[in-house]
Amino acid sequence: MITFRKYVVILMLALVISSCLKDEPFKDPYEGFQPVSRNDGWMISTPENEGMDRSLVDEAYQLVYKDTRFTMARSLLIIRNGKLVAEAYPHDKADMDRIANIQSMTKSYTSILTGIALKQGILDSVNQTFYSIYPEWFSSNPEKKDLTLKQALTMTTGIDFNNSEDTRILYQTKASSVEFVLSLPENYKPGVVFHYHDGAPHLVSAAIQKRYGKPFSEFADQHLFKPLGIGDWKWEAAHDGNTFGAFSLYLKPRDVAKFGQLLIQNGNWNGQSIVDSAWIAEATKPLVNSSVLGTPYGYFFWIYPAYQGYAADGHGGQKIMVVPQKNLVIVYTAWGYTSGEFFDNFNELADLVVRSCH
Amino acid sequence: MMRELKVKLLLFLLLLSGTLLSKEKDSTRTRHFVALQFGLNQIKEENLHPKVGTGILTELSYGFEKQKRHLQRFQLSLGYSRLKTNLEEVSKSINLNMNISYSYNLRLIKSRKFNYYLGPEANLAYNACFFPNWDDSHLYWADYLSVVAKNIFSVNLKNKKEWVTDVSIPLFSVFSRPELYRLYKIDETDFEGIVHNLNSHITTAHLTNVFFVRLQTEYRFPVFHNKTQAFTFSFDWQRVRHDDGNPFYQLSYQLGIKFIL
Repeated sequence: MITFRKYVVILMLALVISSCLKDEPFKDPYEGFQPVSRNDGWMISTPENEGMDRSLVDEAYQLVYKDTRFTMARSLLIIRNGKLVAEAYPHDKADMDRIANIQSMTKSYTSILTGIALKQGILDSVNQTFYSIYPEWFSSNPEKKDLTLKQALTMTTGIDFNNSEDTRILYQTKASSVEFVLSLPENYKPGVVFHYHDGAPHLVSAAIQKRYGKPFSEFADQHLFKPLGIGDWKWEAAHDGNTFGAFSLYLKPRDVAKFGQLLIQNGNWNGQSIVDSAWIAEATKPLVNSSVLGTPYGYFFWIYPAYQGYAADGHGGQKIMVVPQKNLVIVYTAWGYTSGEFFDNFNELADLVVRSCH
Repeated sequence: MMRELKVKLLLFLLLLSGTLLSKEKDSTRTRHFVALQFGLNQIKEENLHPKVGTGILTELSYGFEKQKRHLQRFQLSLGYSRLKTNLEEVSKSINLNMNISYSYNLRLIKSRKFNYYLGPEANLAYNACFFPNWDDSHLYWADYLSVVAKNIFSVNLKNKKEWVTDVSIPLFSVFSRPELYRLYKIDETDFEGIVHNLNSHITTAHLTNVFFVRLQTEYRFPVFHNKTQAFTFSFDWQRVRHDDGNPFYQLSYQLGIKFIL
């Protein structure tokens, strides 16, 4: 006979066994990669029409839809010969219309905007010193008076900015964000050692903002986003109003792809020259060897000799890869806040897509 | 319509408690208690991803019970656990929770072996999570203030032993959840920023927004003169979801010990 006490114990055990929370998949079921036509400036095509092996493209998408791989993937787009040939949104189809933080891919936008600012005479040259633009922020840091735009663009400022701690301070400081970056100690002589960080692009965006007289994000809207037909975007600024040159630009995936296509078209868009081709060539050639597996670096662009291409990279494993020889752009966006453990290996996707191009 | 019904039910319970309270003549017995519980904690924060984080929950509680004819109970609990999903090797996610409740329970059934109490409870719960592997920039939370229907069953056993079980179900709540899409890179992480976040976007809730079942059962037995100890088991399931977001789920089972002074 079951006693009262046994009854309670059985009830408790039944409760424990029957009600555990269950995992669910990260992604929607895979339904192919055919893009849909929308009135957003993109011409639509197919892999076959653009000389690509469909089975390899499909393999890339199957990989990105695996639940255990590219776990926080948001989009994968492939553009060949200026046409969108494949796209999919593994997490949610609505991500197509959602702006999201492209994180450090933002740095490459700052690079191209620097080229535009030089073309328009807002900046004089890459050898210009920051001191010549905002001397007021050097009063406590006179030793950095010779720091140039070029040293910032190549991540060779020598400033000991540590992204894991200092980015948060840069983001949250109520004082001058530029002065904060300049106040950090100098570990190396400028122009010598590559040290990737969020401070250098911020010095550049602040320089353009100072000279332009309006927010850097407004400069981007006027001279880059509007010409590309990009209307939905957001770009965060520090508390002192300086737009972050290193991160926190929010865009839709198809609009991110337009940036890659602009680069492959040597800065021309609908017959208009937005940025000089010479600047793109300079910014995307190896100028310094990085500390990341020796991958060469240009002006806020990573260079990938194995693909004869270059890329904008962002936290979360996000990437805009441009392969001029194949007339190919690959855009991969992901949730931009995961630790490196979940970035996964973009090169596996890139290998498949590059190999698919005849 | 549902909200009106809930408010009416709450008013009815409060009026009933007032009426019954006025008839009390017995002397008050107050007993303080401290409890320590350990158990399994599972969290699924679908605003972030649909995988379950699992870990060991440690919870410390203090409270008191006042009993005349009816039963008043106050309890403050603080819980901590580190969690990990199947995709992680190390538990890096952190869950902190604080729960404060006060209930006034009317004795509706009294017999030699069995008592049944029913009454309203005010329950304030803060549940904060940080998932550094999955989101290194934002805090997640599911906080609520609820009016709860509390049921307490007490069975008198031999030798002054007692089995007490209570079950709580929410009637009406206000709650706070983070926005599903946060268009800012980093949350404010100073004390003021955290407090602001945990109390932002406060919204009134339907049962579909905030629902929980909280069951606690304890076997009380005397240890010293006038002192009692208890072995406890508790089960807690909750779902908190904003209409414009995805749900937060928490499930926990705990075993523990309680010292009733």
